[in-house]
Amino acid sequence: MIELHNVTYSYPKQNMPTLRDISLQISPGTFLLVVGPSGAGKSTLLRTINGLVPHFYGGALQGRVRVEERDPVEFGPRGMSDLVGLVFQNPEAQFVTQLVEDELAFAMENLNFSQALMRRRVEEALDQLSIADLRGRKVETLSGGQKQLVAIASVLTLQPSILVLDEPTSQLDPQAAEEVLTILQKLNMDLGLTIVLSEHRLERVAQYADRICYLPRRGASPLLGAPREVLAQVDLVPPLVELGRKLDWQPMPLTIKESRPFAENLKRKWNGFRAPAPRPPAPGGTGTTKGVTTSGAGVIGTTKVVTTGLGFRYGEREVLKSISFELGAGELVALMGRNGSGKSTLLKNIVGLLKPQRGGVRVNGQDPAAIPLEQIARHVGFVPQNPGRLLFNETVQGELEFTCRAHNLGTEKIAGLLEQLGLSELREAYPRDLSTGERQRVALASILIAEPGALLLDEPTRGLDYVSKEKLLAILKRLRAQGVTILMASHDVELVAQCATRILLLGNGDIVADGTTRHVMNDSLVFAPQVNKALRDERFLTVADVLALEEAHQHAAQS
Amino acid sequence: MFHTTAWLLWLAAALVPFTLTKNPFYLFIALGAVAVDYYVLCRHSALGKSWGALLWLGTTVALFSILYNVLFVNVGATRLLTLPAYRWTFNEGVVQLGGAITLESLVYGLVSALSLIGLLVAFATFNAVADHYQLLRSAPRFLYQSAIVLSIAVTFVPQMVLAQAEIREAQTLRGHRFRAVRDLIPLFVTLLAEGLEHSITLAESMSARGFGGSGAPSKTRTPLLQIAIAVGLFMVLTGVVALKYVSEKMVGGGAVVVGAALLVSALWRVGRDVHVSRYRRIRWARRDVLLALAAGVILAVWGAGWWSDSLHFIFYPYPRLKMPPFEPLYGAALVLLAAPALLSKMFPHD
Repeated sequence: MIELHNVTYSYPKQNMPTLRDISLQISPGTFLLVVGPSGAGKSTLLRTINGLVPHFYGGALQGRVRVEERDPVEFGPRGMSDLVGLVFQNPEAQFVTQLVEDELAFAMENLNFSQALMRRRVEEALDQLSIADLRGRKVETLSGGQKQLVAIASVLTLQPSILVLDEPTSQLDPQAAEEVLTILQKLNMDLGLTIVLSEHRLERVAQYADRICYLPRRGASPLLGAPREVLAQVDLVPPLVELGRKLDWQPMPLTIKESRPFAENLKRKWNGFRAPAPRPPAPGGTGTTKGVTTSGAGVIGTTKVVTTGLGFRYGEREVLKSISFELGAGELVALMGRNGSGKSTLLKNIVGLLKPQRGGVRVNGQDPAAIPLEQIARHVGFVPQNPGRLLFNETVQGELEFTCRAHNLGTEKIAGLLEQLGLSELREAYPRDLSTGERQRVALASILIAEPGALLLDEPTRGLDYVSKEKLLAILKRLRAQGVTILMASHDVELVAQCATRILLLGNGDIVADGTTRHVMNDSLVFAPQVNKALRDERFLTVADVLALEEAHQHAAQS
Repeated sequence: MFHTTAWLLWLAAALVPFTLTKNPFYLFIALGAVAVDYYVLCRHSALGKSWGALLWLGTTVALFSILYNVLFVNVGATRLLTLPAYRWTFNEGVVQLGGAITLESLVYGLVSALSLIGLLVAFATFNAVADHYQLLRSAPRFLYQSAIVLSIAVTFVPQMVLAQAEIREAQTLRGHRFRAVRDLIPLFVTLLAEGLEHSITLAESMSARGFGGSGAPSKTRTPLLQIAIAVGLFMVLTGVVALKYVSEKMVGGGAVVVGAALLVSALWRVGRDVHVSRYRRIRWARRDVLLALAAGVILAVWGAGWWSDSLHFIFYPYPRLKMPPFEPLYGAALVLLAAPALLSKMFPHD
């Protein structure tokens, strides 16, 4: 049993508490999902369970916390380690050893287990998670999903009764995320482990949870209840729930399986009705970007990217075999594929950070590898996976001024861009103090201020909540309307469904699918959004698609 | 990869010539030996390659130091040429740029650069090959409770080295050019912040997995030990100050001894609370034994040499450059610094 009674916690030097008067009771064997926007206190709540808060961070904790009759404030994280296993967002950052087997034994060594017991527990953990084949591997050679499974196994060896996971699937592709979540469900079902998991992508996890704890904002009271109860009351919901709410499906479906009867009814109701073919999205926005003239009437972009037979290998490992495609000016293309399929490598080849070993890349007819990087950056902007790698200035404004200075540009456009990206109020803020979504937008701003004609984004929604994703989505649509060519590597099928015009699907070093977003997603079981999985119809990728047809149908029925 | 103890011994042996002497003969031999190690052991590993960029940076700084020495230090009897001199007053002294360029200042700049590059290559090789987990386990147990300190100590440098290439690329893509030392600020600030963030997450993970001992800390013993450590440190520091500034040496010496004893016993008691076991015993292979022997020979030969005639190792080219002394035994001992490269080829499967 996990009990929190009137818990209030403030980090050092902060006036406003992150957790305020929180009271929760979590029964043994519960699968609890903790959701809420960035900065609402999810990670803090999770760390309260094993005593990292307040032991590791300091600050003031009031109220009473009890975990299986133990007080984490008294015992501290070390004393709680046999009871609570904590898995972090980035598995790479938590590995201490180099070998999988050693990593699994690390916690047991710290608790002075005998060698025989350690051997037995390591075997059990490897079997429980079906990763026995990884035992002798170096952790650096594992895929993202495998790393996360090893991280889970490394805390399971202590046989804790509670497993706490802080956004464990945020960096994984849909398939790997599914593998991790299925394992967690199995541990919950078979071993009766209490699972407390925080996650932004509700569409992935809502179906597994027994209860949901929603933290609306920092210092606010949480909402705790059964998934249907909670999801009926909050704004941040997966597309399927949103659709169910809009169409008044009762009981509200949480899984694709539960939504199928409603979807079939809907299809029967439409009974072959087809709305007029949707027109291509009208270009919006006005203004001028580099090499691009935009107006309310139309858009003419100029930046074209062409790859021909591009091949690249890291040592013995061939990552890209023969990649050929063409990006037209003003296209927004999603680059999808499993972790390690070569998405980041392809982006780096396009921007000139890596040189193709076979074939070539042309950006507006020029070879990026033959031009100094700082010059390429004027034409092709690249936002890396970790936006923190770009940020070092004292203020947000300073970050943009730095890029302007580097490109010998004036600073007069900074205010406008900050306004567009919703960062005006944060202009004097220290970038590293911002939330993940805000950091991502600052990194984007620091690239966009140079007005590149093409933009390459590497996993831009990693760790973003729904609100931040909505903001990013709006920015991408606006950029596209301005004629900027965008290539975005992403695992986020819901975001891709909402904004991409085309998908390049990478697999085994090659492009295995290249087509319109509708076609590729409808044809895939893994890279399909929830709405499409429910209705299995190329016309429906997003909630808006379904609602548009439903509206047209109702209109036709009335007239 | 070598046994951690053998590898630490090698590092200790490698640091000896670069910190003890400025004799160019010994420095050349030592640098050559560690460079062979770096080439053989590190050139294929990601961490080794990442160190490459830092080594280039270090070499550039070292070369700059030669130029600085030659242009600003005009002392020495052997004048090579004379440049126009520019003088200005700084902190009530006169600084001169240019003027007489002497052979002595050139040689002194060169040997200083050799020491710096040698230290860098030795650390790069050590870091790229070391098993950081075993290093962590080798740390004294009283440090275990400070997981964050240990994790920063052991992982900060490798993490920074691995991240620097990506951060450099990211900053270049913002149009930044790395031309002068001040252009490195975006690199270093980001490296520092990222490295610290990584170390903190690692320390959190280590604490959450029981690193540093399990169970609730004693409510009475823990504060007592903390007080003992604080008092011990205070006494040692007070004693040192007293020894330096007060004529009564007995008081200062006594405070240092008592303080040190208190500190050691408190830390020993802290370490006793930490009980760890080993999942696998790291065995000494043939190459580990041979490496430890080689390092031991270097330390013994140079230690004995320093003990018997420390002046032999001191090389100072001013006021007039003289041929530095060379003792074949000391030089031969330094050749053994290349043992890791040789042993990794001789016993590849150990």
